[in-house]
Amino acid sequence: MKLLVVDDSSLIRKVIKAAADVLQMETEEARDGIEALETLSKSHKEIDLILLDWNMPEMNGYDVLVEIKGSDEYKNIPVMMVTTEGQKSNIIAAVRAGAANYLTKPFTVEQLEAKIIECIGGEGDF
Amino acid sequence: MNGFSSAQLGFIFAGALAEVISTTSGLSLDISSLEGGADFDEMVGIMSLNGKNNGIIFISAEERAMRVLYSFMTGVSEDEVTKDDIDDALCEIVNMTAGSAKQRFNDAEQIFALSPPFVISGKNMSLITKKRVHVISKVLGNGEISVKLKVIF
Repeated sequence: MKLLVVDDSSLIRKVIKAAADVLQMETEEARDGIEALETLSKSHKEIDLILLDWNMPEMNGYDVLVEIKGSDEYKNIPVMMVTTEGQKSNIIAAVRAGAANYLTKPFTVEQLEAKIIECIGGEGDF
Repeated sequence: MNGFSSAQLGFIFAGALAEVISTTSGLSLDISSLEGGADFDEMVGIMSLNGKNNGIIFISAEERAMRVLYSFMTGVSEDEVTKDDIDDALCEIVNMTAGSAKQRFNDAEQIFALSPPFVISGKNMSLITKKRVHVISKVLGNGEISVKLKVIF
C-alpha cells in the first residue's frame, strides 16, 4: 500500500508518514497541488490513497481533487481531504467532487489511522 | 467581531489553540490572561482573518518551546529539530488554531476566511495598535513551556 501525502506543511507530512509507518504503508510526498499532479502522472499506478490538504500554494486541494476525479487515469484512486477547513459547506463540496473521506485538523494519530483504514476498506464515514 | 464580548472571543481563540496543542502533541496547557511582560517571544506566527469580520491572530513562543512542542508532535529528538521545522510548525499551529476558531464561530455565522500564515523572528518585538482596536491577550503554559496568543480586531 502506498499513500500520496499532499500538504505544504512539512510537519503534517511528517506526522502522516509516521502514522503510515505504523500501518506498514509507504508514502510519497508532494508540497502542493502541482507537485501532486506531477507525481500522479509519473506513478499513479503505485498510489492506493491520496491524502490532500485544502489550502496550499500554487494550486489548492479542491482544484486538485476536481482534476483527479476528472481524469480517466486517476479517478479511481480514493482521495481523503485532510484540512483545517472543517465547515459543512467545504465537506459537502469535497464529497460532491468525489472525496472518499474527510479529516479535519487538528487530528490525533489514532483518528488519522482510523480514517486511512476506512478509505482503504472503502467504508467512508462522514 | 460583532456580537461577541472580548471574554468570549478570548475563550474561543484560546480554547482553539489549547485544543490544537493538546491534540497534536498530547501536552495540556493552562490558559491565563497575559498581563505585563513582552508582547511576543522570539517567534511569532501570524495570520490575517478576513471576511465578514476582520482581525489578525498572533501566536508566539520561544524557539526552545517550539523545539519541545515539535518533538512531542513528531517524536523527533529536540536536538535534531531545525529552525525550518519550527517555522513550519508554528505556521501550521496558527493555521489549525484559526481553522478551529472558524468552526466555533460557524454556528453564529461569524465567518472569516483563512489566509496564508507566516512567521517572523526577532527580539523585543512589540505590538502597537490604535486605541480603538480590541486586543485579546492570553498565555498558555504548563511550567516548562509557554505560548502567547494575541488577537486584534
